[in-house]
Formats: sequence, structure tokens, C-alpha cells
Amino acid sequence: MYRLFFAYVVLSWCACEIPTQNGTSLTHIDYDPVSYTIDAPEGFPPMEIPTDNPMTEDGVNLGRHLFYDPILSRDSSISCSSCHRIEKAFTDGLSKSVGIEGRVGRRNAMSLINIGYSWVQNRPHNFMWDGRMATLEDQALEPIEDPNEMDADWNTIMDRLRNHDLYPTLFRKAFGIENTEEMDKFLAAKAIAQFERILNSASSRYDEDRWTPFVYMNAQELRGFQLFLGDADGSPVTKDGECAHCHSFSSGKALFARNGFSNNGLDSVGALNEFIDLGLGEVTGVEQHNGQFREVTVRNVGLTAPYMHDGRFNTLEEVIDHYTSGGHPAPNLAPEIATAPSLRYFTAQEKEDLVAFLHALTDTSYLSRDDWKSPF
Amino acid sequence: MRLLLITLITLLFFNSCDKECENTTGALAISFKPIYTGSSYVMFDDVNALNNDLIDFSLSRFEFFIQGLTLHNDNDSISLSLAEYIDITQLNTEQKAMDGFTLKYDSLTPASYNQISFTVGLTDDINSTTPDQYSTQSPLGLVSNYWAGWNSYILSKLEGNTTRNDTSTGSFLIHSGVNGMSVVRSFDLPIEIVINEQTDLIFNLAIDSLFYSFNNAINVDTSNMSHSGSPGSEAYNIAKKSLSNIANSILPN
Repeated sequence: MYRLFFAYVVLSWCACEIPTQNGTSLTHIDYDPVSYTIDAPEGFPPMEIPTDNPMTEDGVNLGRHLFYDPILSRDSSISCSSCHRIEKAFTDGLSKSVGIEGRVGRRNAMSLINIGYSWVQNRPHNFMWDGRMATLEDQALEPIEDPNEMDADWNTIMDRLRNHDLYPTLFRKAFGIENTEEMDKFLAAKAIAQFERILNSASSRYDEDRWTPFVYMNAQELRGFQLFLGDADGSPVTKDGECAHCHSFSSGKALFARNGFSNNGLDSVGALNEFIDLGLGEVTGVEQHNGQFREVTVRNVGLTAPYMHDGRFNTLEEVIDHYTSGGHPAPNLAPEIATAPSLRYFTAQEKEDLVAFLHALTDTSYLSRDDWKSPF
Repeated sequence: MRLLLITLITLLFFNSCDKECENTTGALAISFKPIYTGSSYVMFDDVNALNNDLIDFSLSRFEFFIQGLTLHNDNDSISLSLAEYIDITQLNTEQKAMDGFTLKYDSLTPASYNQISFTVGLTDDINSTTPDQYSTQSPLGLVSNYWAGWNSYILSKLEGNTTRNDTSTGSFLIHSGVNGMSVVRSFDLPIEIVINEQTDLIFNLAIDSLFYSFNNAINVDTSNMSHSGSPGSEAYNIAKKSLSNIANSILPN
């Protein structure tokens, strides 16, 4: 009996040190998860978090490492941060994202600031231009295997991570796994999602002006805000940009995004099957959804050029010119544009005012956040 | 002694399971089915207009809030929910249109009720709240249902396309909002909540009533855009008429 017990102790001890048929034991590494509290920006509610991926300090740390590490791409040349650069509100400044070997992707990289707030519980179409992902966790899985992005396969990537000097420890600390074999793509995606959920900021001059009215935005920006908002209670205006239909917000939830889908008149088509990029319709198979794309936030829009799902507009002035032209005809052109009574009659000055307001939504305060930057 | 203990424990186990597992509740499913001149209406389908101004029209969005769904009988009333969002827009196939948009309520105490009531739109007290006060599981928690310019939820959305007699085309968008627009509806109906069964309650939404109600008609060609407005203004009146027509379009099947 004593011999058996001794053998058990020795074997248990050895398991911590040597690779086994089932990977390498990690139980000698402390697992002491500390809950991560997301600081909701002023004007935002507490963020809702999926119950199967609670935020921890070590989960965020692992996600941050994975986000910035090119190890996730087949040739280790690009990372998530290649297309989501912090100085551009986590976009890349390109019309369409560029993957490994210079491969050009299908669409424009989306901003990640406040991205966790785009999650609506029980809704299937929360993320990406075409809404094909319900959760950030689902989304994080895709770029690794997209041939136009990282063009890797998760089995290879997980082998790299299991045999890495650092990652087994980070996975253990983040998720309490006991063996490197338990490291999998789903945990990697959860960690990346945790990191993305901390990327929240709302300290633009618009926000400051809401906290202390009429101090931070100048007269032109305020005129632009009125045009953006349209027929505000008690402040009738003669012109209405109808912007706040799709870029909607409320006082305590200032997302500036409806996060629905619409055809904003980018392409002229006679029939719904003529769209080159079907957008939401590609995901749902519903013809009326063809040519509809996500109504994204206009927060930090001054940093995220070029614009639209295909990056066709280089400047905000071009964007405003597009909308004030009434958009291109299509059977499912958004009625917000098609019926807008005053949109086509904006003067040059009013367009400038609207652009000025959009720039007032720029927030660069997060650039000082060291915990958002690369850990390498 | 051991045998006695085992027997006792076994009896206790099965007895407790009986009490815990026995379902003593029933369920209620309330469906809203769009119909036009007596037939199912599939969203986005063109249908003949009933006035002389247009050849046809189609709906591309038809959504509205209801609040305070409550069942009543002579002695009691039970509240089913604070607010719901009736999303007819998703009924884009024949089958979906025939099935309707359905709200389901489980775990209801069996009883007989003789009336159901709800508010179409939102009452002023709920409309004074904001999306940050709710989870995104509630339609009240979504900024997409809120119009900041009026500090109000968007109580209803009616959008669509039109074709005129001269074959030219158009669009319409009528959103209602602001306080004072909601309409209370109640229906005297026998509603039995039965143990282990689902009771189905079906309401039709008569699309023709949205635009062609007697004394409350809306010409979506000439009044093709409204998202409320100052009380008394033309836009306000159209928005209010729109919500009123939605409320009146709801009829028991």
C-alpha cells in the first residue's frame, strides 16, 4: 500500500514536468482568476457579457497577446492588429483589408471601439458588415482561416500555441485548464473577445459637451448636430439629415448606431439580384436583404476613413455628398433616404456643418491606454 | 434495518421527484398574423391599393410596441409582460406570414380568463425611460427603437414602397413617437390556461386598416414621411393616426 502511494505521488509530481501522451500538465501554474470589471464610458450602460465567457484579468491579458501576435497567421506576418490599428480607432485606413501575401479582402475593416455594445442578446446578426456573426467569440474564429486574411488553420495555430514558451501559461491562468491539450480555438476566441470588450471610450468633444453643455462644441458643430438629429423636440429645423435613424442613440446609451441593416443607396440596381455584394442577403438568403449592410457607429468616424463596406468614399465630404444626392435607386433603397424631404437641398455650408459635427465625435483619449496597446 | 433504510430513501426520492417534476402550469401563445383583404400578407409583396391614387404598394417594415399584456377574469388579472415588440417585418415568406409573429408565455397558473388587454405603443411613463435602463433582451433596451430627437421610443414603424397610376414609384416612412399616442385595446375572449397545454390566441392585423380606415385614411403617396413632430402639426397627426390605425387593425381571428 505504501509503495502504491509513493508511486502515485511520484507520478503526480512528474506529470507537472514532463509531456504526456495527452499534452503537458499545467497544474503547477497558479490559477487564481480575478474578475475584470469593465468601466462603462460616461453615457453608456454597463456592458452585457455572455454568461459562458466571464471577464477576467488573465482572460483579457491572453486576448491582448493573441490580438497583437502574428503567430495567428499562416506565415506569421499579420495579427488582428494589422487590420485593427489603435491609432485609427482600430481600423486600417484601407478600402479593403489586406491579408497575408498582400491578399485583398472583400470588405473594409470595422472599428472595434465600443464593439462589445453591439451585442444584442438572442439576435443572430450582431457583427460584421453582413451580420453573419452573433457573438464576438464567433467572429474571432473566422479571420484565422479566411484565405484573404490569415489563411491558417486552427489545428496548426493551436499546435503553435501549445508549444509556445508563453501561451500555455497564459491559457492556464485565463481558463484554469490543466493540460495543454485543453487549449483550443474556442478558448482563444473567448480571450480575444474579452480583450475586445474592454475597448470602450466615449470622450469626444460631443460627449464633453453633453456633460457640460455648450462649452466644448463650437457653433458650427452644434449646427451640424441639429442637422444630424433633425426635428428635435422644441427645436424645429428647416432641414433634417435623417442621420439619427440609422445612427441612433439615447442619452444613456450613446452608440450612434442602430446596428440594423439597410441599403443606403450605394449602387444602382433594377432588381434585387443585381447587387454585386449581397451583404445581409448572403447570410439570410432573403432577397430583400440583398445589398443591405450594417448601420455602423459614427463615433470616431473622423479616424476611420475610407468609408462604407467597400471603402469607396475617401472623405466624410464624399459621404455627405452621397447622402444628399438621395442615393442610387434600388427596390430596397432605405426609405429614410428615399423619403427624406430636405436631404437633397442641403447647402454647401450645411454639409460643412454636418462634417464638423461628425469630427466632434472623434475621441483620441484612449490612445493613452497602455492596456490597449501591444504587450510585445 | 438496512433494507428499511433503503426502502425509506427510495420512497423519499420518488416522492420528492413527483412533487418537483409535476408540471402544474400551462402556456399561452399569442400570434399576430398580417392579412390584406382577407388573405395572408407576405412582407415586401406588392398588393393592389384600395384607393385611386396608387396601383399598388408593399410594406418593407411593420413593427410596433405593445405594453402591459394582461389577462383578466372577474376576480383576478395577471400581467404577462412589460413590453413586447411585434416585428411583422420578419414575416417574409408565405409560411411565416401564415404562422404570424408569436409571443409565448410559459409557466402560467391554470385558470379561466375572459379578457385580454394591452396598450398599442407605450404609455407615457414607460416612454419616459431610456434604453440604458433595460437589458438588450427587452425591446426597450435597444437604441434602434429610440428617437433621441424626441426623447421617445419609436412606438411604431411603417415603411414601404408605392407604385402610382403613371407607373412611377415612391416610398413611405411613418414612424410614431412621443407621449400621448398610445392606444389601449381590450378583447373579451374566453382564454383557458390548462395544465401541460399551450393555448393559442390569434390576432389578425388587417393591413388595409392601416391606410384605408374610414375617417382615418393615410395617403402614403402624398404623406409619405412622418416621424412625429410637434403636437398638432401635420406630421404629428399622421403619426398618431398611424398608431391608432395599427391598434384598430388588431382583431381576434
